[in-house]
Amino acid sequence: MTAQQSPNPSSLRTRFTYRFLRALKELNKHRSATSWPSYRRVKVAADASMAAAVKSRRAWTRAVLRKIRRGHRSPRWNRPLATRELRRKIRRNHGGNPRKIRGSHGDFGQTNELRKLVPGGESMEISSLLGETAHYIKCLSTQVQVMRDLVDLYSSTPTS
Amino acid sequence: MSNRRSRQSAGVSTSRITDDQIIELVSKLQQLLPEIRNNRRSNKVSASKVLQETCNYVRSLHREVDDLSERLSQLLATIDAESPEASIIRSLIM
Repeated sequence: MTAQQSPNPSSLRTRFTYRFLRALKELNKHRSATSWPSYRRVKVAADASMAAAVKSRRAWTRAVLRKIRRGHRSPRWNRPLATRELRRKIRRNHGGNPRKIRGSHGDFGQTNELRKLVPGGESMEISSLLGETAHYIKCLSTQVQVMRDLVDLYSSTPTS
Repeated sequence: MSNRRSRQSAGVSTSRITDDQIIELVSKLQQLLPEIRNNRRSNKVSASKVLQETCNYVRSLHREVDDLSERLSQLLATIDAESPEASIIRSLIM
């Protein structure tokens, strides 16, 4: 995947960068007020910015946006789960359709691993999963490139 | 999110998706994976290998995001994000 250096204002890279920078600015403004681990907030900001840049066109972005909206309702990210929530979480992660897990399609045993890696992958059909994965990889690569550029830039910027 | 009933019917329609579709999607994935793209000797890379590589690649991308988030959060703490803003945008986008 080659980096797009064109000044296309509507490219995914551009859209993501604008959103992410805005989010980082917000994070920086409020950082003293927060008790949340800041690494996690940067990561969430990055994931959210990418999903928002793509919008709800993709199943995986819809899953990410849903998850983030859910997360915002709880006051702390890592609060201990109540028993009911824990049971629901276990059911969601391990209660998959045995037919899907056993893989009625020969060599697609690895799809279960892939399902866990792609947002929303657990409930996708195999053909959607592959297409979503391809798009997800493309966006993740862009995200990584931009984040790397930012780290380089911030590292070389003299501190005020 | 999805209930048992809908998953069962998804199982039925899954079998109707053609092999061609799967092959097309797998080869699409193949194009994106750096490891397989570089080592391509023949067009015959098994779907299993592609899926394996895909999982590895996604995991490595996740790790990179984690690492970069860590570094960014540390850097944010040491710089004034207001002033370099314009130059950052300019250098990244233009």
